[in-house]
Amino acid sequence: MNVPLKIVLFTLAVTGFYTYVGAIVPQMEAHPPKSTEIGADMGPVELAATGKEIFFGKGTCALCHTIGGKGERCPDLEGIGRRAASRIEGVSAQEYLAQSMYQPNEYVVDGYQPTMPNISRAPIGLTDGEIIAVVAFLQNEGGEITVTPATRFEAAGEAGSQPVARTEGEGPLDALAIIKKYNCEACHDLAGAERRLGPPLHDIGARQTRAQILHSIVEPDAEIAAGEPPYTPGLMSATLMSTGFYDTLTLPELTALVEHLASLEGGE
Amino acid sequence: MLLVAAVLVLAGPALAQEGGEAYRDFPIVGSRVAIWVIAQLHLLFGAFVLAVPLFAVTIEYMGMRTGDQRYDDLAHEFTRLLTMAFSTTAIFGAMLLFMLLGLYPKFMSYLSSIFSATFLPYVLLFFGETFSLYIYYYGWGKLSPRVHLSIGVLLNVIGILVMMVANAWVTFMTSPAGIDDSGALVNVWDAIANPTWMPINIHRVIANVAFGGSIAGAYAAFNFLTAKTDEERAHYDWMGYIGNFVAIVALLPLPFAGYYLGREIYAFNQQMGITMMGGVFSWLFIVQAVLIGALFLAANYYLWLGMARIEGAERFRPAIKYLLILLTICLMIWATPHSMVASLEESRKMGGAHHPVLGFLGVMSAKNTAVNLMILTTYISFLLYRRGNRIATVAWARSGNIAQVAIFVGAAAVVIFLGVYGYYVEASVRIGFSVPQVGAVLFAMIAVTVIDAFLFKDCRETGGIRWGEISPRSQYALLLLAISFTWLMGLMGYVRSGLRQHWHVYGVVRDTSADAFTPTLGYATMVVSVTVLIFFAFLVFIFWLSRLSQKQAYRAQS
Amino acid sequence: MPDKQNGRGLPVIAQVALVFAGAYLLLRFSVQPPIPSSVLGMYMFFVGVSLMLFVSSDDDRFAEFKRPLIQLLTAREHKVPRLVLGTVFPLLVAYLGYAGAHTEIAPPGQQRTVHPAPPNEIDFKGKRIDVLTAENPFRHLAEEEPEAFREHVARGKDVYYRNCVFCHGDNLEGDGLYAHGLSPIPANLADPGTIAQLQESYLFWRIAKGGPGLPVEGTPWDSAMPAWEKFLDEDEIWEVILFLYDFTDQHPRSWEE
Repeated sequence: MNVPLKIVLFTLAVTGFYTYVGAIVPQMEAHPPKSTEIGADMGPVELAATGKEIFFGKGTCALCHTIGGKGERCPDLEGIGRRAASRIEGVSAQEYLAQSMYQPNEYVVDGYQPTMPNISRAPIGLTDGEIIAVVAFLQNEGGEITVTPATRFEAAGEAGSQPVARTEGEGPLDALAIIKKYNCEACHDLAGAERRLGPPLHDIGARQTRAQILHSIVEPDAEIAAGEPPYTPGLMSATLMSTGFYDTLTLPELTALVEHLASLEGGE
Repeated sequence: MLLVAAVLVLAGPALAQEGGEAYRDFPIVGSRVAIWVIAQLHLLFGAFVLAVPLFAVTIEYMGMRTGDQRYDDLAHEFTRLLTMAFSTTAIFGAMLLFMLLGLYPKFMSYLSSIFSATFLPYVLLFFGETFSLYIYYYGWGKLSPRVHLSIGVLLNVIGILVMMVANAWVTFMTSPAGIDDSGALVNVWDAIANPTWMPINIHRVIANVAFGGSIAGAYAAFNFLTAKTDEERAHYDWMGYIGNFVAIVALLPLPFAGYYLGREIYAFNQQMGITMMGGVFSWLFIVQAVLIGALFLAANYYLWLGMARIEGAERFRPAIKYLLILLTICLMIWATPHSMVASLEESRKMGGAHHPVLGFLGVMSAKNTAVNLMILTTYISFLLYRRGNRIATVAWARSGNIAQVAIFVGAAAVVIFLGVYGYYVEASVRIGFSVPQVGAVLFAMIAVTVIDAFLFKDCRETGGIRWGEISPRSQYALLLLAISFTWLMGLMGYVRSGLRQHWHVYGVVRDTSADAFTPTLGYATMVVSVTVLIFFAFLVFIFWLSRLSQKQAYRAQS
Repeated sequence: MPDKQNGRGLPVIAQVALVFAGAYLLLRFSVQPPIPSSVLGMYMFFVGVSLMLFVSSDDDRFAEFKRPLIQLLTAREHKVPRLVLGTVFPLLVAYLGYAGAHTEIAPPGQQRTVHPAPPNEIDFKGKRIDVLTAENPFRHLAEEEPEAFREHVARGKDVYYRNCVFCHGDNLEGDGLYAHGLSPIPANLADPGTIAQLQESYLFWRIAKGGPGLPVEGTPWDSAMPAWEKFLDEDEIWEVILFLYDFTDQHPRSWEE
């Protein structure tokens, strides 16, 4: 047989064989997850069901909020539908719930710290429609669903969340006050080695230099601490950004905070 | 042509922003397949264009060192292929760009918003590569060897830089960095040096060398099989040997570079890592096992057949049997899936899809052990081949041999011990075992090579190598090597790209087109095969062109 | 070239056939339970390829291997065998074609992931449980309060023998009364390849969500396991998990110490 022809046949045979191998292994198609599209014709029940999915899934709300639990990090939301209307004078239930998502620090439940980021923005980034669904789900917790897919919230229009206001006449804060005000301990264990949303910092002074600590505060995503399960990049910067940490903290305060952290060296 | 590409690169963003649509449709095959095939062809030619200078400069250097004119001729012959392949690469690159801009305007406008700062350097580097390539080719034998070699080195450096810029774009899609929450650019350098950038750079450079070697081998094989004179046969036989040698040397560290890349992907996003190894793509690695098996078998087979042309190598023939048995067993272990396809009857007997005995072979411990032993076996084949016609004359020859055997046995023992011991320890400990396993193999290869170098310093030769007197079957092994390499690149390119699943830029720009789903493996392999065949068709054309130019020169001379 | 094989007097082609058959018998019968045909086929393919490589790695041997075949096909005196081959071979091909097309009525071969990737977290009756990190709330009692621990194990035993025993069997070997009516059959929990490879939180997921909770690559519903979250509460599930490990004398897998 003609040699070039032989080579061509050989090439075809080899490629054919590999194609055959690819065809005999199990065949699966993976489809992208259905995006929770809020159809204009969705009724209240469907909305609430979708909202539940978002609450436990994409919204990552359940990371901090419980429904029928202790509410350690953030308020427990059991029966929130009942309470929502009476939280702020003159603000309807649906508008209150929307506000607590678009501008979470506008009203902070007593005994809790302003730690929640604006969830309409990245990294969580719920769409307006998805937030409607979550509101429906929350209203369904002991209240009546008043939102429809066509609802437009006032809070959505106002740009982003409000920073934690600096109280008039407030002098420079010391480190402990900063930690309390911005609720660092919601995510970082400063007393022990517990893993929370962020790595424990009880021995940070022994592990890192002041410069490293400062860097981690100013640019939290530059280096994400290792560990299983992985920490979420972007969470800290988003949270701090929304609470106005970067806008209002002064240099002496920052220095005090770093000094304090550097003094944490584990031990008893 | 190059100018067109350059203008396009610069004008791209502007063009892209005009259309308001996110996607446009490509007739018949659809946008995804169209981009897939063209991008893969561009990559294959790009790899070839990067690999050949690496190969040519190395060979040229060897020629300078040994003073053997054959090396220089070989390097020159390859550079001739380059000029044509270079423009083909650019054509496919321009096509890819045109089609991306046309078919994925929204995505491209986002990508340009991130990487516009890299476009000008890319174009400049591209010009630099073009100029140094032409100087390198046309200056052959006209410049002083040293200057010429340095231009060759410069050509490689620029070539690798060009690749690294393009890699930044591609790896950004897998592991975006340097952007804020809304996806807007914060720091270009962070976007370039994203987590998978360096691993891909390293992986691609090594793989390019292996690919270049295998294509060189295929070129030699084709010419050997169609040669008319013994002289030609001898020349191409030797060339095929060199190609195979380069391919195998680069193949051996490739699994480790791949491992590094895999680790970075896991570290970047665990979900992505699980998708790769345990989810939708897990069966792809069974297909990969078959391909790697074919590569190892073909490389060994070539060496064994090659022994026939070495006078004195007969004494090593009986060893082939055992090497082959070892390779086969390792291969079987490597290809054993963890979850098996079984009929109802069979799975009842097994008590589920998990086989109580074979299940042990389906996990990482067994596979690492098998692949390390395969590498050792291939190395032994190569060692025996090298020794074919040599007999050590140094006084310590016997003890040197014993030491080498002891090192091999020791390395194999470490690999097997850790492989078996891995079943008795926690997963977290077991994962750490792969490092000493690889270490033992690398140590054995280096130590044995060093001993060998001294052992055969002034050896006695039992006979020459009768270049050209090799069985034609060996040349088919070379062809198989090249086809398998090319196909494997296509497959791995698919998994690297497919890992993003329904994202254009993972976690940032979502793929909302009709093609957002991940197709079946059968479909993917079909596309890969078609691409590989198109590539070879083009390659044959280039080879033919280069022969044509050679012929004219020959006539003019006579 | 003098070769050892020649001395033994057996033609190369016969040796090849013998080795191939030997390898088949070895793989087919030495491993129990039998290797699934899909895997066996792959193994035999590798054996076949290796044999061909071995035969053809030496010109003389290859020539000797081919000689009887070529003779059979060309030599004048082999007319009868050739005729036989000429009829038998097409018939064989026809039979294979027929057998391939005519399949018995049987469920198709199944591809199933042994340990499908779990979701990161599940919603257990409104409570979020992180499948990657959740720990058995009673596990720590094993050392701290052995008595309380035994009590939980005993409760788990109770749960097991009320609910699970019908399928998973008296000895947890996956051979309960109903086991043979199910496909795939229930997992043999005493096998060191099952629960010992997994974290307790993984078991929690599988028990709570059952077959309906399997991900796509596990092929949904490819398990008859009910979603026990509808019948058991959280503590009961954790307790039965304690019992599973206790009874089989195994330990859950842990990622970090």
